[in-house]
Amino acid sequence: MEKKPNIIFVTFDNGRADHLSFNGYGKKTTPFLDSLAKKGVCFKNAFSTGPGSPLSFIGIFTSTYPLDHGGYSYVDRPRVLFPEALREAGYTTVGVHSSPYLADYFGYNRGWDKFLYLNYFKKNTAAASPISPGLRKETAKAKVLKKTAESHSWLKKRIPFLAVIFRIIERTLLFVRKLIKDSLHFRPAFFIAEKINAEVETILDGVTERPLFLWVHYMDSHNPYGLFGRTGHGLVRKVKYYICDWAGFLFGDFPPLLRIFVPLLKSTYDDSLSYVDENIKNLLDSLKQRGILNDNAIVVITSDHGEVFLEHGEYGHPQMLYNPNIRIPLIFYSPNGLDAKKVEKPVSLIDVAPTILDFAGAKKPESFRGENIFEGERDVIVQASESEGDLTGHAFTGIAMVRGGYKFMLYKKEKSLFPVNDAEEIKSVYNEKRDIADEMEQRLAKAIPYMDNFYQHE
Amino acid sequence: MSNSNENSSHDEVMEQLKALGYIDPGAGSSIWQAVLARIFGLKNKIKSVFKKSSSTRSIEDRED
Repeated sequence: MEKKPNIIFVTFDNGRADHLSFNGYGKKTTPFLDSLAKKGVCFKNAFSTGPGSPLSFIGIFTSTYPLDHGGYSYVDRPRVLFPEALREAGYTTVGVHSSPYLADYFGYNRGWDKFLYLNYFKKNTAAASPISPGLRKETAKAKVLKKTAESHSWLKKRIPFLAVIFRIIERTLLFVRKLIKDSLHFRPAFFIAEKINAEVETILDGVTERPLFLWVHYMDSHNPYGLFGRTGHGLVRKVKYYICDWAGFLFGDFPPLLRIFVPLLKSTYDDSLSYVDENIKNLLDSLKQRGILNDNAIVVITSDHGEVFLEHGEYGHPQMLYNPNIRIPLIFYSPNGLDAKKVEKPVSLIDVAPTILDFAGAKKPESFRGENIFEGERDVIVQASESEGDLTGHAFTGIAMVRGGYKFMLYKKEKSLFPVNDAEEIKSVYNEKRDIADEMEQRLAKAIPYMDNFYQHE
Repeated sequence: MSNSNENSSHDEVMEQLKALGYIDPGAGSSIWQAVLARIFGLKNKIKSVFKKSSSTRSIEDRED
């Protein structure tokens, strides 16, 4: 029987495809990933299942669309996380990350021999938390937050100028509070890549069983960009980090003011991508030394979604279906196993899990919607869904399909069609290419049983 | 520091979401906005009651 390969799955947050140098970006942001893209299989048109970690990782790990099975707030049956299937196939499974949306709290801890969710807000109390995983919506605090949010919306609708003034005053006061809090007791938003790698080293010291499936997720390209620069990476990076952090905090809601900072935000975002790139290299070097990254090992590298810098009026990764927000890098690499090539066909992250299971010789769970990414060509579907930060109240905000060189979008009741490689996505060709758009809409209706909901969203 | 956990609490996760900007850090502190909104809401409610009662009266008047 052929020996099962070790599988190394590396993901990083906010990896906008066109900011990576192997996709033709003007700056050399990712020299190490460039070399892997050259030696491995590089998918040039890979799409996330949604513009946000919860919508995307549910696609990556369970090979389902975010709004299947009633939504994406908590991973529950019938969904199966692919590490569960790997474990059944004899793999030792280890996951290390620092993203709240991938915490055990949201159900991502199934199928792991070791699952490490790193969070600086962990209370170091001796008593274990009595709260079971899952959403706890009805706390008194949650009720107050909901009421005040409703009131703000009310004010915004009826007396908009007053709402803006209140918001500015409030932001300023909060900023002062943030400065005081940060200077007295700073807690980083996530573990930076160096620390993640250190945790991986520690955890792997205690794991000798093979074959191994290792998943590592980096947060560094997420806001606040350049967090790593806060300590020990030079004064310039430190200053860039602080300006970006403060600008995002103060002006995140005010695009005209934030626009002034966009060049700096982009530059710091690019620095973060380079930092991730460097740490992926360090991780793989270390895994090579340990004999985990051996000749027949499989390495898969991707990101969950992109990032927008006001190209369409918003900043971050709002629930929009434009390419900067949903196109992501995807590389499969094996030192001895895969022929190097660039693949132009559109693919979805929904196909990553079935492909990994095929490499592992593991059985594909019935709930999976994807197929092996190397076989055939399929319609790519992306869903957008607004929700509260704690993932309550999923809306059917928008849906897109990529097929035959075009992208059809139904977004807040508006239909549009763009050539898939249109970098701007400003002029829709929906009226000129109505037959293509109609066909894609019909295909969506067939693939998505709850499609009607997307026509209702305002 | 290795803080592996399989039992993260609501607050721990929410605090991190707040630090990442997913939950508005100002939401909890804008109770004064809520109060103002309620006052304006109440004013509008009173107005609408008056409007309703005056329109009702005018219909009654016509009937008379």
